[in-house]
Amino acid sequence: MKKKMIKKKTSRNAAAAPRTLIEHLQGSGKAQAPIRGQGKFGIVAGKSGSAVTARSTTEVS
Amino acid sequence: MAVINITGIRTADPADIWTPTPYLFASSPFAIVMDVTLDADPPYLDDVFDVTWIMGTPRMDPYTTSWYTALDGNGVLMPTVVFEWKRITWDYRRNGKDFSVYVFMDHYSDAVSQILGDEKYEGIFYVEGTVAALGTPYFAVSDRYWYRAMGDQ
Repeated sequence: MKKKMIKKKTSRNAAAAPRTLIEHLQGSGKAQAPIRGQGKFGIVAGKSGSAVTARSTTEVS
Repeated sequence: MAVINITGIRTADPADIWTPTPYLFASSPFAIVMDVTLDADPPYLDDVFDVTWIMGTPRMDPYTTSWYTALDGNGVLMPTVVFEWKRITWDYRRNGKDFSVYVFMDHYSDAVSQILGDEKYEGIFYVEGTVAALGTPYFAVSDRYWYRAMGDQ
């Protein structure tokens, strides 16, 4: 009687592929990437509106 | 009228985002501002948007002009610098269908910190951007706004 081989399915994305080229380089040990400036963001209403929300972040892509 | 419209884009001083600054220096306070208008009677939208700002150079010749980056020691021509702000919540029913979104930095030099070469602080460049409403097919693309970087001052 043949044993049925059951292959475990693995997601193609399961290996957590790098999201950006920089992350790819860093993941492969080639981490020499340019320094990235830090951006901050804001959103305001209309031209004469006052700031409704504003936040700063170090996460710019 | 499209559901989402980008009616304006400009470089500006973060202290006065309404006034365009078409020329600047490395030390200039720097912002890229986009004015967004939603259709007067839009279909249902969530209040969540993704915004992208793009800085770009039209000159990509390695023998003449110079705007590149270095990856693992290798120079790579790099025509754009991109900033993303994802999942911004804007309650347009309460706050209005006209709003402006901006990315800003202390200095222009912060925005081009990854760029190398002679044109890092000098040349004629453009900014443009996109806005997309999450969970819908609706998006908008801005015109190009051209500005001049005047040098390392």
